[in-house]
Amino acid sequence: MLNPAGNMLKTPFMLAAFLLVQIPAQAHHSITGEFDTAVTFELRGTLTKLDWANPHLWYYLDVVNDAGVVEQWQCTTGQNPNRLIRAGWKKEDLPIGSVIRTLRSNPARDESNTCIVGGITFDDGTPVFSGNKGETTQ
Amino acid sequence: MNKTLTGITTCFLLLGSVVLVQAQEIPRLGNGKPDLNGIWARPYVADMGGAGNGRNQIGPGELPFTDLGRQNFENYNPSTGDYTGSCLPFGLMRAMNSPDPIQFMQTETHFAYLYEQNTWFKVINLDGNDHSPGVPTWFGNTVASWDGDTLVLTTSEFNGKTRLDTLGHPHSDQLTVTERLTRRDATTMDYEVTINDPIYYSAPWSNKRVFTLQEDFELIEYSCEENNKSMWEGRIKPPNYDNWHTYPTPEE
Repeated sequence: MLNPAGNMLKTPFMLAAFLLVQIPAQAHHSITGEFDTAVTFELRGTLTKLDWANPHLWYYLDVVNDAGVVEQWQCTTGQNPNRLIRAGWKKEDLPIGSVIRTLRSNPARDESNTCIVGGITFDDGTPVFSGNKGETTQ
Repeated sequence: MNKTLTGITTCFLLLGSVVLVQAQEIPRLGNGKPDLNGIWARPYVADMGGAGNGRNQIGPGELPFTDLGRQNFENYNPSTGDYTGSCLPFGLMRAMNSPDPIQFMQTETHFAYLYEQNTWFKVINLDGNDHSPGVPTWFGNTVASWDGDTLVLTTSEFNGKTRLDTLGHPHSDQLTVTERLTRRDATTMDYEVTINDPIYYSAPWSNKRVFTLQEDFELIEYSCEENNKSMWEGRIKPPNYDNWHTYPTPEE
């Protein structure tokens, strides 16, 4: 869900299932120490950099907030590139400058502009780095 | 009578053929032992108890904690120290629970786990003798044996600085892990692991899973340290091992 301005919306959302907050879908370690999984939001922004490296991919976004000010965010999906390579993906499949959206995002507990996200899509909602390339589902 | 004998003979021949076919379905080394070589996909086991049950893995349900074990588990807080997030060695069980592929390399004399996760490895001598270095280690000291066609790996002498799974189930340095690897056919492997830790569990318990051969896979280098920015930027804290060995021994 994006706000009417189309950019960023933070919505407190309590997840009922303990295991869902305790165990990430892809990261190999617990995420609850680093991220507040009781809070979810989505971001829409312009990709300025992509770390295609282990242990996890990191996305860097310029996000325009409700006040019209650009905020710099860094978010990870908890994915490692090895799995994406096997699924047919390449770093170049997500060009720098793309407008992307983050799904099911949880903020870092240190209150920096850092988050872990459940997935990434292009602005039109097309998933990227999800499933096997060419047969993506989200 | 002749028809009966012919029928019995035919049955034995068919049975023999079935047994022969089944035996041929399991690749074997020159010494006749099952060939476990290959890159295997395995389920991500974040919870070795019952709540983590899913495709290709099943846990025992409620774990038989001792009071000390339950206390340790309930007090586990990765925000105050996360050894895997810090890229320290995962330890045997946490590495076996990883979602990333693993390669088994086996000769007639040695067996090796090659973990894609963090490019770790563990080499085991198959002569059945104890080759302990005499010091506790992250992945423990393993003695191998064969139970028929099942490779049995019994590992102890852990340093106790790791946890069993992502959920944080604890173990002590008194842990013994018994792994049983049985190649079911050309493409699947049964894996059963038994946890025996008298400090944290009142009885041994087991977790079973199925590995599947990935013939088109090659392992890819994996450096956990390369971009572990969560630790560099202070959001993941290194573990504090100053008082990690503070539990009483069973005799106390």
